[in-house]
Amino acid sequence: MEDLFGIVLFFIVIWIISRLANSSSQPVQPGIPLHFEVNLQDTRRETNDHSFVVKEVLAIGLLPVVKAINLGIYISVLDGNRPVLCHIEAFQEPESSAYQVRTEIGVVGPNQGFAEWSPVAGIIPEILHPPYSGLRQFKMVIRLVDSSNPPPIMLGFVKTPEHSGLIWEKTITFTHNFTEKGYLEIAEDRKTAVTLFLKMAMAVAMSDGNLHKQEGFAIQKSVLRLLTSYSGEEKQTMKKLCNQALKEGYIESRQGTLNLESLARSLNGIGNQQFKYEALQFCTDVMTADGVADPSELALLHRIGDLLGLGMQQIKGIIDRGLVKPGIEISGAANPDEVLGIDPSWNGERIKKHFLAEFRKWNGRLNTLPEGCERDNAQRMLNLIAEARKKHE
Amino acid sequence: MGSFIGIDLGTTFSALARIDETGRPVIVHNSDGQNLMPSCVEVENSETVHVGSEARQAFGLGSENAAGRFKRKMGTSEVYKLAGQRFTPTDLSALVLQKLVNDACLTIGDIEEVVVTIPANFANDAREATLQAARKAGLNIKYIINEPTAAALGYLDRENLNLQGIYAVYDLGGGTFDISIIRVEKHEVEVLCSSGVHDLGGMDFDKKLREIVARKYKEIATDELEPEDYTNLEAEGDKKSLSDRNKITTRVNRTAIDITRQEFEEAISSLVTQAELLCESTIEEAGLKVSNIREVLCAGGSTRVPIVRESIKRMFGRDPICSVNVDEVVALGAALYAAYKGNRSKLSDAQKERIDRLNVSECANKYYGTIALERDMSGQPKAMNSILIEKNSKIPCSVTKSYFTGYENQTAVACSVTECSDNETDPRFVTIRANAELDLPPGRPAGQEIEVTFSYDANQIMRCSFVDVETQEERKLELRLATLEDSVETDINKFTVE
Repeated sequence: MEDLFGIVLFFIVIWIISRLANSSSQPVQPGIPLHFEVNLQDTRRETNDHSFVVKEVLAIGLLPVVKAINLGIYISVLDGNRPVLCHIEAFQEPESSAYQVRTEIGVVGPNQGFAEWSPVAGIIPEILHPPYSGLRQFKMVIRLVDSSNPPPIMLGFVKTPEHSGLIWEKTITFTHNFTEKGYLEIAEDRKTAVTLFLKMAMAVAMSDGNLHKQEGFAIQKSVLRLLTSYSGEEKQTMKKLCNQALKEGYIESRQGTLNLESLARSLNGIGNQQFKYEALQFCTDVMTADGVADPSELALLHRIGDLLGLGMQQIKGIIDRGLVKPGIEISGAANPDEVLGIDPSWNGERIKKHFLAEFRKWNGRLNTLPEGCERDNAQRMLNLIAEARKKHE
Repeated sequence: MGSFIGIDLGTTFSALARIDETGRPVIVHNSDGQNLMPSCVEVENSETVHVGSEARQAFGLGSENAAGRFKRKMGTSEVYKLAGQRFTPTDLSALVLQKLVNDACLTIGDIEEVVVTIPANFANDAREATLQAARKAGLNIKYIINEPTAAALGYLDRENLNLQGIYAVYDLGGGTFDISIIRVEKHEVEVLCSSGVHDLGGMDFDKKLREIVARKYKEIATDELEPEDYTNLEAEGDKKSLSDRNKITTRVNRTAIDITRQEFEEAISSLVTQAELLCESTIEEAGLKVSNIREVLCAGGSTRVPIVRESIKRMFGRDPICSVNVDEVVALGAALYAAYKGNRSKLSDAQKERIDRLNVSECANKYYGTIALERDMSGQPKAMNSILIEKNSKIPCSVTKSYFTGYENQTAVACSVTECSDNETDPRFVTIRANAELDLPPGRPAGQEIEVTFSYDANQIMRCSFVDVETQEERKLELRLATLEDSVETDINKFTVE
C-alpha cells in the first residue's frame, strides 16, 4: 500500500465506488448455466512503475432473482470473526470503517445472468487493514443484494440475516501477507503511546513550573477526544491508563524526575511514525491552550521533536500550525531564538539562512491569511524574526 | 488626442503623471497646485465629499467622518462608516482616483488610457479591489503595474543615469515595502524578482514614534496619551523633522517632550531589519549576490528616513540613487507603462519614438499550483499544494505536469488553481484562485494520466488546462491576474464631489 500511494500523485477526487468492469453492469441474455457461481482470480495491474494485485470476483450463471430488482454486489472481508478495515472512505461501510465495496449492477430480472465468467467486482488487498500482520487467511463475503432495499451490514456481518434485501451470499477464502502492523496490534501499541505522550504533554505544560487551568483543560479535552474511539470495558481501561499517566506525569514534573529522553525512546521503540506526530501535536495543543506560546515551552517542543527523530521541517510544520491558531499570543521577546527553533550550535551562516527561510515563509503566509488573529500572529512572527536577527548581527 | 496617464495610488499620498508631447512622463498638478494628493476622504454629508488636503486635515485631527490609509485594507471586508454612510476601501480608493483624474482633466483634457500601480506583494484580492476601484471611478483601465517596476521605468527615463546592468529598486512608501531586482539593457527592463512586505511603511514608523511619545508623556505628565492629544499628522510631521534634525521637541497638552533621532531609530530598527531581510531574501531568490547589484534605486517617501538610507548603504555597500523625486517616480513610470501597453497609434511621432524603444518584461509575483494528494510525513495521503509555475518565472511561460488518478473507476478530478507567496505545500496557506471539476469516464484502472498545463502570458493572463490524456477531455480555466478587459457600470456617482 505504501508503494501504491508513493507512485500516485493525484487530485482530490470525488470517490465513486468501483464498478470494476463494464461488462458486469450489462445484464445478460437468458440461456446459460443455471447455477449462479462466483470465483476469485488474481489479476496484476500496472500504474506506471508500480504493479499490484487485484482480486477480481468473477461470476457465471443465472442470477438468483425471482423478480426484477436493482441488483448490487456487496463485498466484505473478515479475518476470522473480526472485520478487515480500510482507511479509504469510499471503501468503507456506511457506518463503520470496515472494508466494503459496493458494485451496482443495475436492474435485472429472472432469466438473466452471465454466459461466461465475467468480472463483477474486485478488491485490492493492499488497501485492506487487517487486525494482525503476517500471512493472514481472509474470508471474502460476497453478497447479492437488492440495492433499493439493502440489508444493514455492520463490521462485515448482516445484522438481520432474514432481511428480504439479501438475495444470495457466498464466502471465499484467500490469503495475503501483510508486513505492516494490524489494527489490533496498533491499538495495543497505542495504549502505550498514549501514556507516553500524555506525560510529554504534561512536561510541556509544566515547563514554566505550573499547570495552568487552560493547559489542564486542554489535556483533559484531548483525553476525552481520545476516549471517544473506545467503548465499554476498553474505554474504562483507557480512562484509568490516561488518568494514571497524567498523575504520574504531574508528580514527576514537579519533582523534576520526568525523563523526556526515556519517554521519547519508548515512543520511538514502538516504531509508529504517526504516534510521534500525534505526540508533538498533542504537546503543541497543550502549549497553545493558555493562549501564550511561552519561549521555554516552544524550546521544549523543539526538543521533543528532536528526541522523536522528527526533522526540523516536520517539527516546525506542526508547531507553526499551533502558532497561527486564533488567540495565540507569542510571548517571550526575551528569547526569540527559541521561538524560531534556532539551535545554539549553528554557525552564523546557518542562522542567517534560517532567518531568511523563516522570513520568506511567514511573509508569504501573511499575504494569504485573512485579516484577524492568525494574520496578526504571522505579523508577530515577522517582528520576532527581525528581533532575533538584530540580536545575531 | 487623449493622454496616457499613470496613477500611483499610495497609502498616504497619491500622484498622477502623464506622457507629454515628447513622450516624457511628467507629474500633473492637482487642483490645489500640488504634485501629491493625500489619499484621504472626508464625508461631510450625503452630498458632499472632500478628497485630498482638506480630508487629510480632518483625518489628522481624528474626525470620525474622515478616512485615510485605507490602501492597506484593500481586498478585505473592512467597512468605514463616515457620516452615516458605509464605505469599503475600494469605494474610498475610487473617490481618490476620481478626484485625481477630475483634477487632471482640467489641465490636460481627455484621458486615453490609465495604469494604476499596486505594491508587488499585493494579494490577489487587493489587486482585484484596485481594479474595481478604478472601474468605479469610471477609468478606462486595462492594466495595473507593480510599483517597483513602475519606479524602474521612471528611473530608466532619466538618460543622465545611463542605467545598464542589474539594479535593486527599493520602494518604501507610506504603507508597504517592495523590492525588485531588475536587469536593464539599454531601454529594456527585465524584472528578475519582486517581493514585498504588506505592512511596512511610513505609517508604521509613525506608530513607533507615537509609542515613544505615549511612553514619555506617561512618565512626564503621568497620564495616558489619547489619540487626539497627538494626531497622526503630528507624528508624521515629527518623523519628517527627525530626518533633518537629531532632536526635536513636540508638545502634547502643553507638555514638552524631547525625542532624539537615536530613540526613534532604535524604535524602528526592527522594521528596518525586516526590510533588510526582504532584500537579502529577494536577492537570494534571484540567484544573485549583493555584489551583483550595481545600484539601488529608491522610491517612496520613507526612503528619506536616514536610518533607511544607512541600512541600504550597509547592505549594498553604496549610497542609493534618489535622483528622481522618490514621491513621484512611481507615477512617472506608470505613465510610461500606460503608453507602452496602450494603443500606440494614438501617440504622436515624438511620443512613439520614446515609447517604442521601451521593453518591459515582468516575472510571476507568486507561485501557482494545484491541490494534489501526496503522502504526508506520516505516510497518510494528504492534500498538498503542488507548484507548477514558480515565483519569479519570467513571463510569458508555460509549464506542463502530469498527475495520476489514484483509484479504479475514479470518475472526476477536482481542478484547482492556487496562489501563494512562498513555496508552500500546506493548502491552508494558499489562496484558491479557481476551482472546477473534470469528469472522467467510469471503469478505468487507477493511474490515468491527467496533464495539467499552466500558461502565463505577457498580459498576465493565466490559462490553465486539465486534460484527461486518454480521452482528451479538457477542463480550461482562465485567470486574469493583472488586467481587466471588461468594464461594468459605475456606481461612483453617489459619491460625486460637488
